[in-house]
Amino acid sequence: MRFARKPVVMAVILFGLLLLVPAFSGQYLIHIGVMVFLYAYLATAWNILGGYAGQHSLGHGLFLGIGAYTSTYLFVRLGLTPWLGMWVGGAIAAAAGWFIGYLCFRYGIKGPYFALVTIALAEAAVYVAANIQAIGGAGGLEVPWKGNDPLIMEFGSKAGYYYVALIFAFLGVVLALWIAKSRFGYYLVSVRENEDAAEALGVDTMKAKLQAATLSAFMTALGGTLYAQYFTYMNPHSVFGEGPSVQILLFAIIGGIGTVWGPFVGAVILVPIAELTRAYLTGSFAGADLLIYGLILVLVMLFMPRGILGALEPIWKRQRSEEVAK
Amino acid sequence: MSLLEVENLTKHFGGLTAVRELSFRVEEGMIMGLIGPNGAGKTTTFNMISGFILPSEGTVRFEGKVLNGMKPHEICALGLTRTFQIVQPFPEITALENVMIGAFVRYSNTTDAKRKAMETLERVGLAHRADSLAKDLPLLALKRLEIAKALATEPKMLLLDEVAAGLNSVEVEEVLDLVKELNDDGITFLLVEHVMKVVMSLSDRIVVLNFGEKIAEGTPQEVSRDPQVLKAYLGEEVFVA
Amino acid sequence: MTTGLFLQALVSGILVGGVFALISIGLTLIWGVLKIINFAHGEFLMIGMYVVYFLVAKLGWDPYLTLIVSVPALFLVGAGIFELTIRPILDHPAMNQIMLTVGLSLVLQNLALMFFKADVLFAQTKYNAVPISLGPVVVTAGQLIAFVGSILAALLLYWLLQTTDVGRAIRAAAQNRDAAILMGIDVSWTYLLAFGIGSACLGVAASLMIPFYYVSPTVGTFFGLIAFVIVVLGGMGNFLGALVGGLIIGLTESLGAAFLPGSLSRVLTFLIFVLILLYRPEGLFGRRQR
Repeated sequence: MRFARKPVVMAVILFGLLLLVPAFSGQYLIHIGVMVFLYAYLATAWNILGGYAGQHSLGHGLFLGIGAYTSTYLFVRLGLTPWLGMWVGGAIAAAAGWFIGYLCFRYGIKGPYFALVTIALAEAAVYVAANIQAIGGAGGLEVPWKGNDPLIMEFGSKAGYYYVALIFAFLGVVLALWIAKSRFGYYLVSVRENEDAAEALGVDTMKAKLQAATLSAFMTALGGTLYAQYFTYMNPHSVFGEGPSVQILLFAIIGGIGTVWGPFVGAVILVPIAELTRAYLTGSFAGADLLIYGLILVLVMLFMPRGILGALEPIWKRQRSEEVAK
Repeated sequence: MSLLEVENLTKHFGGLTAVRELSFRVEEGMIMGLIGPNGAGKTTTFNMISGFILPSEGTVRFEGKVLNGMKPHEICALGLTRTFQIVQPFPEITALENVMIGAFVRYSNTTDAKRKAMETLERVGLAHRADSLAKDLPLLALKRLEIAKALATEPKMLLLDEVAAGLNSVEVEEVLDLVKELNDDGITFLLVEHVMKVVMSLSDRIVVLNFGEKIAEGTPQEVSRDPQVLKAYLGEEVFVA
Repeated sequence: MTTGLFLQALVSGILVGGVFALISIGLTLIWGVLKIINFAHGEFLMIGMYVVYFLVAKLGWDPYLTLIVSVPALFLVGAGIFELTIRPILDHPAMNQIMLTVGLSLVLQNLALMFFKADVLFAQTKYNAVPISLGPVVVTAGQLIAFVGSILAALLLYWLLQTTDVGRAIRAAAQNRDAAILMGIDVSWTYLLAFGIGSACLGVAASLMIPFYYVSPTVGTFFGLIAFVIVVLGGMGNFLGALVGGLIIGLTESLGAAFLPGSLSRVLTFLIFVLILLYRPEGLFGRRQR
């Protein structure tokens, strides 16, 4: 794994510091931390397909749901620890991601039409899941609480989930960093920027897109297991549909689509805002957080279309060209 | 065995036959020109050779291997790379990164690809703009970039699609020199061109198309005196005396 | 599978299909002219339905009288949102436009949630009180009027687009923006009109639907998605396509609900959607663009 030393060191230091947070914080702050890192991870996973490869999926909830339901079902039925069930969910989601990718890319479905297909599939999954009684139907599935047992991904205090989520987010960012500097990453960008030109230069664009779709789906499903374990409950609407799908990509878009840290930054900034809003308006109404998300999304699209990091890029570019000039 | 063999190449688009039974050979080390009036089928021929369009009939052979049905990226890996008439850069990444995409077909390691890309940029005279975003580059630089990207794939043969289009006479000279140098280094060329100065001075041989059919083939001198060719271009001010 | 059940589902399907068609015609107009996929289209309908509900349930208006309010109101909402949020990004990448309208839909839906809670509201009017029997089939007056009204509105809109100068300008801008500009058509004005008219269709639909349908903050999600399916099925920008597509999907939903277990009829609709996108993306009536 060859890649630039500096960003990795930065990441290690950052995440190292974040490891210390639970020691100094109350339960609520730790909860926000879990949410931030969970969504940062999910957004990073989405970004590989949506940002790097430029194939904007609006239906990643499908993979989130597959991950959540699979590990929980195996846990309930077979007593299989979610740490293992996670990988089964990941495999199923990877297959689904590959299959959907193959269907779409084979038939040249791209851009808005690809987005529409993914929404349709994610929404269809809601209805299919609602009709399968074995996984709880419309009522959903509950994760049985067996007490504080890290071996089955259940923790007595929120700090346990915090550390797991932090590790997910950390590994996600490291993977994103590595991909960005690898041939795979460059190929994904070339597909995004100009698919025909990429083909003409020896890039197997179909393979690159499929790999991105498979990896992104796989990663998202793993996050689905953490989601299930933390919230201990899921139903078709809370994981499969358009709502969760949009939430995942929101942070990537607002933070900076196609960048390594964009999804993370987006989650770090937005999730606390949403959580705090929800806390202050408890009882007033559910959906305050979504309202804020929607508002920020509209504003960002109007005034900062490349996201927060995208808007800051000119500053870095100036720095970089000064470095090159030396 | 010729490096590139095109045999009876034909393409029908519904009722329209864009290219009809085209045959020619390009020997290694040669610069072959492909000319003809607008709509003669030159770009369609290019697209068939490079794998972007499937021929209706006929075969394309590169180093003896049949290319029909292969995807463009496979053909590139074999050593045959094309450029595009309207430049096709990757806008949001730097010139260096643009060329790296091409280099990656031979070098899977990022550091090696970067080195190869830098060398290639120097070769085409674009090293000073390595860190500029492609979308910020002027046309001439983009043309050079287009060649650099293709060059980085270390091709045995380059298909250049109207590389001189849109350039002034000074810029055309520079491109001419570059192609000559690359040819001296051993790269075979098939050029589609409208700018006659380029074709006539560079090409060892020329194939002339009109309405999808080959109407003449020969040295620049032979072709410029061919009555069929003159008739096809009648009314177009193309031949420099 | 009794014939009675089949006929009932058939008739309901056609009736609701008419309303689907009207909703989709608005979307296909916007999509066809501006090349924008408005993900907030369903939420605009929701706004219209709340307005109509308020007038009917709180002020006692006859639902069809509300047309004089709902149509201009939705036109203004559409035009206003267009001016403020969409016009500035007309030349931005399609995905940014989509994300903006997704953001809009989130805002509108959750504002409704904030003001009206998650309550499902249904207005009792004389139009759904007495069922009407057509042989073995039972419908309400509201459903019948909605169907007829939708078809009439669709025909009116079609006539407007075909014969008036404004309509022709809109169609020209849809076909070839640059040519339209060269011909002296104020393209930016036609965009505004197209968006406004497309939204106004939802005002009509809202007034027609309240007599037999409920309103809630999430009602837009369903109709919005259905509208996409229909527009893709019929062909982007294709009027007739939206009409026929509406009827087809209306039948699919209705027959599916009658004969498939659970809510699988919805899955059937999405399946059609995906299949069309894969095998005939230009829609039933569209022209192949690739």
